[in-house]
Order: sequence, then structure tokens, then C-alpha cells
Amino acid sequence: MYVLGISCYYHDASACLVKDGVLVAAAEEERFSRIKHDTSFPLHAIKYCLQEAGIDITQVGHVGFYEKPLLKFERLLHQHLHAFPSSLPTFIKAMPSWLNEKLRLPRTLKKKLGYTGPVLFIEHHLAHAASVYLVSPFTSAAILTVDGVGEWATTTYGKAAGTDITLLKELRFPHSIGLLYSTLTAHLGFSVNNSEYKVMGLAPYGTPTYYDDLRKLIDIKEDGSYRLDMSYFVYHYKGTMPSRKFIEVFGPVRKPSEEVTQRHKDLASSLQKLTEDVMVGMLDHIHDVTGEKNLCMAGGVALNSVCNGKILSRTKFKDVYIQPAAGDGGTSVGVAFYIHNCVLKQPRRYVMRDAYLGPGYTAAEIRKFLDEQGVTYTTFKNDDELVKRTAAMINDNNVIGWFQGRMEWGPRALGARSILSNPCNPKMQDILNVKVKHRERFRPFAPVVAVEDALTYFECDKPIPLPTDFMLMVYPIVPAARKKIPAVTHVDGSGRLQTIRKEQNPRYWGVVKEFGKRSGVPILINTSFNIRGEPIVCTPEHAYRCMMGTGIDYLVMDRFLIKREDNPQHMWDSESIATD
Amino acid sequence: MSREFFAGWLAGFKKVGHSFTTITNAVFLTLAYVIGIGPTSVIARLARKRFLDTTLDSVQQSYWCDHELKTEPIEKYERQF
Repeated sequence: MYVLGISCYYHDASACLVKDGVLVAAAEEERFSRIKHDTSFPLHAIKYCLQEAGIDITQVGHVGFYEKPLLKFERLLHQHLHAFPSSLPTFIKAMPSWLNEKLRLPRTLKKKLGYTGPVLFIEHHLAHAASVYLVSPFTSAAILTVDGVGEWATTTYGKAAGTDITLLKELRFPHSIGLLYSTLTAHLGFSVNNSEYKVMGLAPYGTPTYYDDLRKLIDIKEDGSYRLDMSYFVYHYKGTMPSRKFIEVFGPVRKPSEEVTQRHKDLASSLQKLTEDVMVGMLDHIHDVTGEKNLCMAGGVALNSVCNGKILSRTKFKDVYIQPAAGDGGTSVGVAFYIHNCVLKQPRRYVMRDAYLGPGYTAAEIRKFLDEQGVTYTTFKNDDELVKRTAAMINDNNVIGWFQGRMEWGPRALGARSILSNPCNPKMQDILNVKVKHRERFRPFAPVVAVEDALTYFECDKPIPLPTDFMLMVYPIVPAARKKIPAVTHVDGSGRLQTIRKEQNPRYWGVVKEFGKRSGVPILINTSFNIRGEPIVCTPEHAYRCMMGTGIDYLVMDRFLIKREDNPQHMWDSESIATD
Repeated sequence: MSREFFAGWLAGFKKVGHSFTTITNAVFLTLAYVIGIGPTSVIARLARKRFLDTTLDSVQQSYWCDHELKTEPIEKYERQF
């Protein structure tokens, strides 16, 4: 029995396919369309999922959608009724897409895919809850979902056992910690629904001097529930987010081209501290209400890895699980599993232990591409040579494009579509920025370490929680190790590490371990294989093109090694198109 | 040559059509907003109806709202509401 899950029309459109309770394939539309955070109907992602399973749409038993469109539409109408006449511009802007596509999903499915079977609509936060709990290793857990907004809910909590999920309470729009974070993101000159992680990365450079001022924006009760003082916000009726009053208190909105000043850093620091305090307050209450020792979290705020890294030390929960695509993209997985396990009452039989759920390419397919393009390359004799030579090249301070196996699910590159380099070189952050990434200097790069070596270099929770494998937890780096890996040590001594297990990705694990033998430090820089503003590469063509337009020295694509200098004919200027 | 000409012609037509649609949409939606949203909003305000709860309450113990969302029969999920 096949269930197709779909998420689209807001941000990060995605699709996934579940076969008899096992996730066969999952991917975001942006990887195919090459439009970052693509919101459109995920036709390419759906076609990929069907192709991966070797089926056509007629074999799909149910299609699930990640929200109740009419409930969301009702909320929008309430916003316009509340704000009349100020909301006219947003009304004119928003309505055509609602009337033409957002309320007509069954018609779109029929028109674009020829699908006429049942379409099931699952509440947005229920889809978030299902997206994490039903693929977690837990048999029971408390659940917290926190994002900008779904239909009406912005935050929900509940509990789950077996295949039963119950959401008990919710906080409703316009009161949203996610939208508060987005408002500050906009205020700091970064793009909303895209660059919240930059604010998180900026926070350690500041001190929380604006904490008390920010605290006045939010009324937090003893049970962790909160409401925002809406006189500081206009997002409930305008296309912008902070109000005039907000700007009077926190200063003018930073233009993207302006320098990041200490005020911006202090604001980011204050916001991060406030977010952590709000989250801990809610989690303490949820622990008391549910009595569960395991926690599942989903929603965009669950991608705040700094906050995630503090959960087990600051709350009473003993274990935590977050799936790699914790944001809206992940809800396609939620609806598919909710339909299979909860609505159709089938037993759970899948745990998401790795993120390699996207398209993969065989050696023959890659060789065909390279030959057709006339690319000069060499072939590794075996995995041992691949691992040793790659580690040696990294140790020699080369930047490596790493394209192996199936693409990752979720926003992080986890060793399938990654750029790898030497974290021991203090200049490597600058080298990567100049050669490839063109990103803000304040943003640190992330380390990858074999799970068995993690506690030697990082002050992780013990045992190390599974979300660390998905780069979802930030932990302090052991003080003695900080000078050894300057390129991945943030200004506050922390690192957003990824732990890797041999069984997840043997070649990737092998390169990390082999680099350790050569350098004495079994850690690599792992950053996403893309340039700023573009989605992570998906196909061999994307990877080759990205390498040839940047300063990546070598591309290790399956068992093929491509040296950029040997292929000078396809040069293009990646810096000229790098955006936010 | 002729293919390029017709392609350009078609693109121009599409652009004009798109602009026409945008203008028509704006006109009709403005009317809908003024005729539909406007009076409803005014009457609701007179009746003290709130469409968004934006108040803060220092007396209230909790802002959590009851939800109790659990699995329902499959027919419920076939609805968009």
C-alpha cells in the first residue's frame, strides 16, 4: 500500500512516498526546480518519489496534504476582518493564489498527475507531530510543535503512544514565538523563512543587553504559555513584520547591504536567549503534564540547534528526537505516516535513522554524464583508495566536493551532497568563503565527527541523542580541542556538529576516520554543496557545474575523481550570482 | 525567422494577458474587500466581536487553549476544514 505525502504553497514544498509503512523516498521541490525554498506544487519531487518506487500514480492508495486549507483560509479572512482597511494590499496580493490553487488541490492532482483517488487533509501541527513521532525510535513520547503558524495554531503540545497521537493544547495566531524570531530576522536585515539560522549564528557575538526590552514584547505565564504584545508587530495584516513602535524601541531596520553592528549582534543574542527561555518554560510544563521522559519536537523552531543542544541539560526530558526536515518541508512525511499508522491503523515499522532519502545515481549513470560532457576524470580502484586519497587531499588543504549516494532529506548536507575540508587550518573559513560559499563572515562552518569520537571533542549529552546525526544540536567544544579545530569553533566555543555512524555512510565515515589518522584530529568541515542563495546540488550535473563555477579543487562523485584544473572550459562566476 | 517572430508575438500576448488579469483581479478583489470585508468588519466591531485575540491578560493563569486533537474517522480527513 502506497501513501503519497505532499507539502506546498507556503514554503519548502516537498513530497514523500511511504510503502507499507516504510519511507521509500522524500525530497524537497527546490532541489529539482533550483528555486530555493520553492513553494510551488512539488511535481518534480512527486515524480521522483514514484520513479524511486518504480510505480505510477494509479498505484498510490492515498494522497495526504499537510494542512486543512479552508481552516487556514478562514484565519486569513479573520486577519483581514480584524485589520480592515489596512489589509487591502495583502488581500489583493494573497487572494488570487488562494482561489486559483491553494483551495483546489484535488483538481491540481488530477490535472498534473491524473490522480483521482482519495485526498486526505491533516491539520498542520498534527502533520508536524506525526512527522517526528511516527519515525522516531520511541514507543511513547511527549510532543512539542512550534513554528510560525499553521491554520490557527502556532504552538501545540501533546503525547503519543503506539500509533495514537493526541495534541492536547495549543497557542493560536497571532501569538507565535516563531514569528517573533522571524520579525527580528527581518529587523536585522535577513530574509524571513530563510535566514533565521543566521540570526542564531550571529547571537554568540553579542551580549543579551536587549533581553529586558524584548521581554516586554511577550507575556509568559508560569505554565510556559505566552502571548505577544501585538502593538510591536504588523505581520498579522501587512507584508512587513515589525511595527513603528518596535522600531522606536530597537532601532531602524538594517538594510541587507549595511554592516552588521554590535547592536545587531546584541539583539540577536537577546532574541536567542529569550527563545531558549520560552522553549524551556514550555518543555518543563509539558514534561509535568505528560509525565513522559522522551520528547519529540517539530516545526521551524525545532531547527534552532543552539536551543536543541540545551534541552536535555535544562529540562527533565531524558531523550529527544527531531527529524532532519523539522520545518514545513518535513510535514509531507508527517501526513503520509499519519495516514498509514493512525488513520489506516497499520503498525509502525520505520525509524528515520539517516537522511539519505533523495535521488541517487549509479556509477554507470555518473560515468555516462562525465563521458557525454567530455569531463576529464580518474576512477578510484576501490573504496579504500577513495577514502585514503580523499583524506590526503583534505589534509593538503584542498576543498572537496563530495557527491555520494542518495541526497539528504532536510535542509542540512550530511555527507551525500557536502563540501569537505580541513578544520585544523585556521584560514580554512576564509578559504571556503572566498573559493565557494561567499557567505557572511560571522557564520561558522560545521564539523563532522564519527559518533565514537564525538565525546572526545564535544561536550555532548550522554548518550548522544540521535538528532546530532542530523546536525540539529549545537554543543560546546572541549576547551582543549578548540585550538585544534579553529575553522569549526564558533566565537563562544561551540560547534554545530554532525555525528556519523559507519552503517549510515561508510565512505563518508571512512574519510573522517582516515583524516584523523593523518592529522591527529578525526573531524572534517562539512558544509552544504551549493553556493549562497542556491539549493544544495542534486544531480551530477549540478555538482559538476557548482565545482566549475567555484574554487572547489576536486569533486569526488561516487568512485570518480574530477580535478577542476583539468576542466577549465566550463568556468563561470559563482560570486556574481550569490544571494541571500 | 517566422518561428522567432511568432514566439515573440506569443510572449507579448501572454504579457498583455497577464497584465490584464492582474488589473482585473485588483479591481474585483478591491470591490470584494470593500463590499464584503468592510461592512462585516464594521458591524463586527460595533457588536464588539474580535476576529483575532490580541489582548494580554494579567489575571489569566494560562494562555494554552484546549485542543484535544486525536485520530478521527477517515471521512473527517477528506474535508478541507
